[in-house]
Amino acid sequence: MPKVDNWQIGREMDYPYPASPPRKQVAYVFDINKCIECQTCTVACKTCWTTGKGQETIFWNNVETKPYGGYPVGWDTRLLEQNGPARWNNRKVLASLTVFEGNSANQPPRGHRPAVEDYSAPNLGEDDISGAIDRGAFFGGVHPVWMFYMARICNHCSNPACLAACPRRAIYKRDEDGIVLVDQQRCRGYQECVKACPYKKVFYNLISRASEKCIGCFPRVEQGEVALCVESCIGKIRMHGFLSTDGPPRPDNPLDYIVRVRKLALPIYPQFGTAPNVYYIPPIHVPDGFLEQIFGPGVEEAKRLYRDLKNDRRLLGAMMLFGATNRIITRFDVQGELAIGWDINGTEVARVPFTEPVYIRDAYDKRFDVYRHNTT
Amino acid sequence: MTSDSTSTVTIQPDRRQPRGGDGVGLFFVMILLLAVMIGAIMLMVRQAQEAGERRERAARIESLTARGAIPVRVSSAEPELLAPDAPAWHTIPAVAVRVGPQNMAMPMLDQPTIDQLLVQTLATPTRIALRLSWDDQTPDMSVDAGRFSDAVAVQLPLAPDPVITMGTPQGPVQILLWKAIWQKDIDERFQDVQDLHPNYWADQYWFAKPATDRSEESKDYRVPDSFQDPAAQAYFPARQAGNPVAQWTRSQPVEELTAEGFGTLSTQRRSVAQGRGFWKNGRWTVTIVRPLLTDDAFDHQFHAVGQVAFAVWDGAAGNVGGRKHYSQWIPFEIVR
Repeated sequence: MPKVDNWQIGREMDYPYPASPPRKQVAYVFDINKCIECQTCTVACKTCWTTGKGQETIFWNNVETKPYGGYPVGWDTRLLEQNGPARWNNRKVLASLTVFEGNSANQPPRGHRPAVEDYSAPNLGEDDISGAIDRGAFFGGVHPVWMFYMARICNHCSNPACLAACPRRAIYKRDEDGIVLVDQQRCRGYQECVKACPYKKVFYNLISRASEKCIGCFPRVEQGEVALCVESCIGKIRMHGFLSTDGPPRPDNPLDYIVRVRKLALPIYPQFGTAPNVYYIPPIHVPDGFLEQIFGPGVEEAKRLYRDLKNDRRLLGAMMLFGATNRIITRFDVQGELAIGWDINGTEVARVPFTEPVYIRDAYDKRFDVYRHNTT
Repeated sequence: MTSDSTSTVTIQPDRRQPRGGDGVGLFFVMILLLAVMIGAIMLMVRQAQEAGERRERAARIESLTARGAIPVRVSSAEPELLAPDAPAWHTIPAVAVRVGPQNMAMPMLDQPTIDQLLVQTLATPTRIALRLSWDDQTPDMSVDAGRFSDAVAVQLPLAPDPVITMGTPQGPVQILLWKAIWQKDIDERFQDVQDLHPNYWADQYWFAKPATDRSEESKDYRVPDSFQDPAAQAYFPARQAGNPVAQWTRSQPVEELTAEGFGTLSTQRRSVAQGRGFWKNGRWTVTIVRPLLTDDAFDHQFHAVGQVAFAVWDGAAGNVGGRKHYSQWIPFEIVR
């Protein structure tokens, strides 16, 4: 099988369809520490894209509670069982096999097919904590149990398993931005992609009798706008942009800077080998052991960076641009007390101060003849 | 052609002729006797010829069967053939065709569950019909995530020396595909979400109208009735893109396709094949009927001899796409 280079696992790996990388790669950073699981992203996505008949249990975007939640149920644990634990040499190079490796020549990537019921309870495990709390337990400064919310969309992988599994090659990765799409005209509903996607983000529509997936809001991306799930995020946990593919990471590209230069945000299950492009800032209150299973060996360093953000002006500046504009920021800079972002046209689209200004107003507003209440 | 029906000449006595034995009357009687004798001789010759042809056909059928080919018997009439239990099928012997798991291209079939198809064939002056039957303990006719349809396909060459693996760009093939889910669509109605999941509803189907119960709280949204508004149809992208598997109306459970290698299967624009299938007592029986000759460049044209191959899918065993059982090319001959 041909080889491709995968920086996320520090080595080359087998991949059946080596292609030159797209001109740029769509990518996202999700800051798990800020997510409150309001599901506004889920609703924004569903209302726009998946309200058709046959899409009742299809959520291109979902937010689940870890450790016990998952949509579809057990999407990741079942593959972990199948694929075995990830092993890393020197915390850099993956020593275990990706889903593409160790298979017989004519079999698709390792995967499992969820049951219909697994899609019918997207909130199963919601808010469940990692363990029971003893009677009489009290808060002593560190929580003895934990949970966190993980928002998930299609990872628009650099080595998509869905694409590799499709016997009709009805799935393709766009050259202009790396968005992965199912050709709705060619798909014959074999569901091989559903089985192969480690993230279970390709779905079978029983009315269309074809498979469907997150389209990366490509009509918006083509206009330089962020995806709906990113725009609607009230917690501003998401940044949408592009990773450079035509050379070394650019420190003035916020995605390159956060993901490649500083490694604050980490890929989800990099050991599966698909090179996913949603990057997560790991939740700092969750034990490393659990997080490393999901985000790989960079967890400890990412947590350290996050805890030190207040002293890390440039990284903090990039973080402040999350949710600051509906335009995709392709270049950013920190100038004095401001983080500034520019879109693909070079137009300034965000200007965010490190410290929000404080305005003190009189209790009585003469212009409107009203008294202000001490609320926001 | 087997035979034109023998022509018999009957002569009605002319009632205007006077009764009695004059010379003219005798002459007519002689002529009549002569005509009857000539007719009888012709009939005997013809019967002898036919018997000879029957013996020849029987020998031909025997020799074809002996070398594993399919002898296609011929009917001079146009009997009902589409119904899998039509009387015409009762007298036609079946050829057993061995099928094995597809193990050449990704994704392969790991575990075969079907080992043979029984194939009956009949040609009429204008049509060719195949009746295929095989053992399958479960009829898989429902559409859902993780469910797969039982199916059977007939592969025919569109160029000389075809390869079995769904053809090549130089040697494309035609495939006639029958699917159980399509049969169910036709026998009942287009399968909707509620057929399997009565309580699956979305809060909002944009621009859709409840099918019968028009009240505000109605959840009665049915495909296709509730989704007639073009704006509502925009939410079915595969259908909007013209994907042949995503159409809501289907006149036949058989689809005509062409292929030039694995992964190239394409639905033909024009389709004349008809089909029907039913499952009974652990066995599928499916008929596919088609004109012998068509004016479609993407159709196989049935001449006296040819090759045919078969594939069969067991939905319950996860058979779909390339995960199928298939036969080798089998020569056939229309034995006239």
